Order: sequence, then structure tokens, then C-alpha cells
Amino acid sequence: MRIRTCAGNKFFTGVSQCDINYDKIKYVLLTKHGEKLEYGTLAELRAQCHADLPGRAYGFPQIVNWEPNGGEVQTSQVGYGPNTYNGVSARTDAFTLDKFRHYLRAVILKNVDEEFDMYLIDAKDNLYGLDDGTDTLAGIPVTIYPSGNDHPGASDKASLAVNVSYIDVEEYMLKLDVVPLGFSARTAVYGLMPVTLVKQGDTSNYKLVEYYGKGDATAKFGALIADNASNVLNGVTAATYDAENEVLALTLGTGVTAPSLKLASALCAKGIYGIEQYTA
Amino acid sequence: MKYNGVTFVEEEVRKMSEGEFIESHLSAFWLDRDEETRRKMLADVFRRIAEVKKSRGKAKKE
Repeated sequence: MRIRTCAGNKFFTGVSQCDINYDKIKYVLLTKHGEKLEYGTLAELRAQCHADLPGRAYGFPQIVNWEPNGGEVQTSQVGYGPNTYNGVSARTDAFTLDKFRHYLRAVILKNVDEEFDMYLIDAKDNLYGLDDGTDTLAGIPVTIYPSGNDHPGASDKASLAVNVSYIDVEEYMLKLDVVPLGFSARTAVYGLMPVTLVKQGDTSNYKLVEYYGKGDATAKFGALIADNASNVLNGVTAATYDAENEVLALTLGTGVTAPSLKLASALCAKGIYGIEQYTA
Repeated sequence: MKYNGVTFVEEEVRKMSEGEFIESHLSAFWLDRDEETRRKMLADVFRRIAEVKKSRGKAKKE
């Protein structure tokens, strides 16, 4: 015989001897739905931000504001009976990023139909996710969309927010859990910028150029790329970095028409963080 | 292998002949030195990489 147990039998109203110090949200991390975050060490978390697909964690640039919308308990009454709980309204949180970036808005917009699992990290390096009965937190299922202002106005600066819509806000409220990371997330959380190696005229020189906005990243990564050419470059026979002119001199193997970077995971292993080869 | 500031990808270099290697790298590196010196340096690089291959081959046979 199956016997029903009242939820009220496990109604714990005690408080912790060392209360959690909830702080402002600094980082949002998304994974493909069903992929869990590996946060045992700083290196593990950083490696997952550079992992091969589909296991990658997508870190967003620093969050400067959090604004929840909805997620309120709904009540209703039947006849002249008392108000009783009748669910929770849909909830969307707006996470404002530190700067407006048109390409990031485009990428968010391209992924509005994708279901992600979200993890949050606050200023005290507490990690927020869902208790799924295992030793590690699961992500909070969400979908995303962008909002914000393209240009500064009379009173507002240009801004970009990533909005997250909770798939099941009631489950979030029931299963939300918090763990201390034990390390600073600042050097672990990365989003990746696609880059290309662009040939400079009729020479062997190349610039490392960000695909979006065409920023020059050669000075930042050139020396590391040249020193680790065997591990981080495809199609290249030799490499050196010319710090004076901020160019990479690369020679190509037989039959190779253009050099490229290896996978982000290979770059990460050599200390090259935050970039990956652009592929159309 | 790193030689005078240039990192050579040995696996890729071994796919080339010495002449092909020297010609394809001659106008890319150490341009502050004269062509003759660059040729000598590249030939030295090629020999070092080829010798590693030979010694590895011997070790396998043994």
C-alpha cells in the first residue's frame, strides 16, 4: 500500500549557525541544457569556459545590475473562501552588463530559441544553482534575450542587458542552493571572442584580429602564440613575434593557404584565455 | 624547437625537403642579417630537426 506523507512533516524553520552572506551578482554562466558546471577548482572552471562543444560554459562579462521581473506568488480564492496559493508568475531577470557591445547583443539574439542552464556567482564568490540531489549543483533552466540602449542619451549611458526567463520558476524557488567556490571567479570566468589571423600585405606577417569590431589582439597574445606554435597553431612551420611592430611572422606548410588557431581548449592549456578561431 | 627567437614546428618541418624549407623561410625570419647567414641558420635548423628524427628512428629499431 502506498501511503501519502504530508510535506508539512518536514517543515524545518531553523537557521544556519553561519548564515550565508548573499551578495550582488557579478557573473552569469550558461551551459547547454543538461551540461553541468565543473567548479571544483579555478583551473577546472576556467577550462570549462574554453572546453570543446557541447561541454562549454559561456561566461558573460561582468554584471553591474540585477533586476528581477515577476516571480511573484499568486493567490486566489474560491467563492468566499480564503486566499490560497495558486502558483508563481513567470519571472525574467535582467542582468545588465558592464558595457554595451553590439556584437554580444547579436549573439544573444541568435540564441533566443536555445535552452540553457544558468549558474550565478556573487561578489563573495558564492555559486548559485539547483540542488539536484547530487554532490554538484545543476544549472537553472532558462532562455535568454537581449535588451538595452544602443547609444548614450541625455541621462542614460549605452547599455546591454541579458534577460533570462526561468523555464520553471517554482522549481527554482524550491531547489535553489548556494555553495562557496573557494577561489576568486574573476580569473576563471571567460566568454570567448572569435579571432582571425589576417595577413599583412605581401609579407609573412599576420595580425590577430577580433572578428567582431576588428580589434587588434596581437600585442596581447602574439608572444604566447609564437612561443607555443606547435600546440596552438594549425598549418604553420615556424613562428615568431615581433614586439616592435606588433606582428606575428608565420611561415606556412606545403599546400596551406591560411594559418589558424587550434581549439580554445588547446589555447587555454597554454595560458591563452578568452579567444578562439572564428569559423563561419 | 626554438632557435634564435623563432619557434619551429618540427612535425611540419619534417614534411619538407631541405631546399624547400630554406626557400620558404628565407624571407620571413632574421631579416636584420644577410641572406647567406640566414641560409646557414636555416640549414642548421633543418639538420637539427632531421637529426632528432634519425635518432628517434634508431631508438625504435633498437
